[in-house]
Amino acid sequence: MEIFLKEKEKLNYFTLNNASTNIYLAKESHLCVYSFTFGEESVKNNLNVILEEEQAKAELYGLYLVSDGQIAENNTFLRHLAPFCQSFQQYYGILAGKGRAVFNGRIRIERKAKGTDAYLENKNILLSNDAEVLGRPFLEIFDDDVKCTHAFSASLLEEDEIFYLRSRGIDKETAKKILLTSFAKKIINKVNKPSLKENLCAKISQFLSEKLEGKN
Amino acid sequence: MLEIKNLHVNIDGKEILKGIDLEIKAGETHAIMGKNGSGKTTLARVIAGQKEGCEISGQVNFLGRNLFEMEPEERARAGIFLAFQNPIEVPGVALSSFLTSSLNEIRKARKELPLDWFDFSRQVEEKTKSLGLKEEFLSRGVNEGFSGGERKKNEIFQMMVLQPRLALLDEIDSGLDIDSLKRVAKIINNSRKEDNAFLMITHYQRILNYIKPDFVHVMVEGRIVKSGNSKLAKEVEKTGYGNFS
Repeated sequence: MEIFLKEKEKLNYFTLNNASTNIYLAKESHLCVYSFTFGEESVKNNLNVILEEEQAKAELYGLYLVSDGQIAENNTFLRHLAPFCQSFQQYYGILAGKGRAVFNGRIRIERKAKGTDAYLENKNILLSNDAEVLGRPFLEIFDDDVKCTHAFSASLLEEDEIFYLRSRGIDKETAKKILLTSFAKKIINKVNKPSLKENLCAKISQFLSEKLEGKN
Repeated sequence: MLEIKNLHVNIDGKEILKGIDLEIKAGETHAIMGKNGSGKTTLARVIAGQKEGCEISGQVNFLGRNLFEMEPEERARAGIFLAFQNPIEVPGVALSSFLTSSLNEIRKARKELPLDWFDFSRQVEEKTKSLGLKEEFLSRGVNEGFSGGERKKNEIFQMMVLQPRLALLDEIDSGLDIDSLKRVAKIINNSRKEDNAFLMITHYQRILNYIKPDFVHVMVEGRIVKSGNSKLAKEVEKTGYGNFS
């Protein structure tokens, strides 16, 4: 799948699972891409965004919820070919049971891309000790005058946060759901359509109800 | 109201509380003073329900019930409230919805009807004003972007809304400027009734100038080494903790 944004064009795009997508950005164009994977069969998503002309902006948001026997693989490749472009990536994951996730985030900033501002963040919450996530940022930077930040984390739910909510009368399972929902909402809140947001929240709620039941 | 007998707590193999005995009756305000590392916060958190990483022995009864048979949320619903020393941030969870859920859980336990958002808003309006907090903070994530002092005020705000039977205030004065301290003290003093009780945990004597305790206990290395009335606090201020052991 190939998509071309014209000069100053704006696009909100939702990727399909198991798709390979290349998106090209012209001058001052603005792209928002969303990738959602909710407890389905294993998926592999490839997303390449090429910022071809100056002052283009790309925002990539991903949320994956996986459980036993599922692997969510997200591969993104951001190519900065022109000056003063911005790229912003936030991929969040919740892994239950023996779920697996892989995130490969490649950023390449060419020599003519001075003034680039690139940001890459992959955050994961593991609901069990059997879940596994592999995060691989890969940065190729060929210009000095750029800003490129990347962050990766994988952790269990914070006990302190759970305790804080329980100390206010909220039971353990509900506290976990509240914290996980608020985590997922950081991505969902980037979607502009209220009806779609509701739909997504309902799917998350369903996943959490199924996966948190019977667990400690 | 609260009876603690020979409470021992080990955390990750290290002995933190070495046999605490304490009794707090309804209508009383107690203060525990001690240096950092004396075990004051551990005591408060264990009463509130912390179990992770802890080996706990001894007896703690609250309103006649064995506290160790109660989960943290059950203790909260029974009327225990802990104002945390370092309240955490829970962004993405609006304070208003968090507090409404919490309040309604507690009301359910008291066999009262739940409040809806409208009733809740009316009740809290005055409370936010008395703390000098802007109303918009209710729609923000819990403690999102708050300074240390603002988080402490938020703890007191929650206490005002939830109206506990036993409030454990862990270093409520830290991070507060003098004006805020006076506001908070006024609220706490106005909340003192015959059927509730307060346990203030503090390093410094200053707050006890504004909230006069009925009993003061000095804690050193996991033990209460001396108990007395509010004059004991002045003694600690004068001589420091070194004299007590």
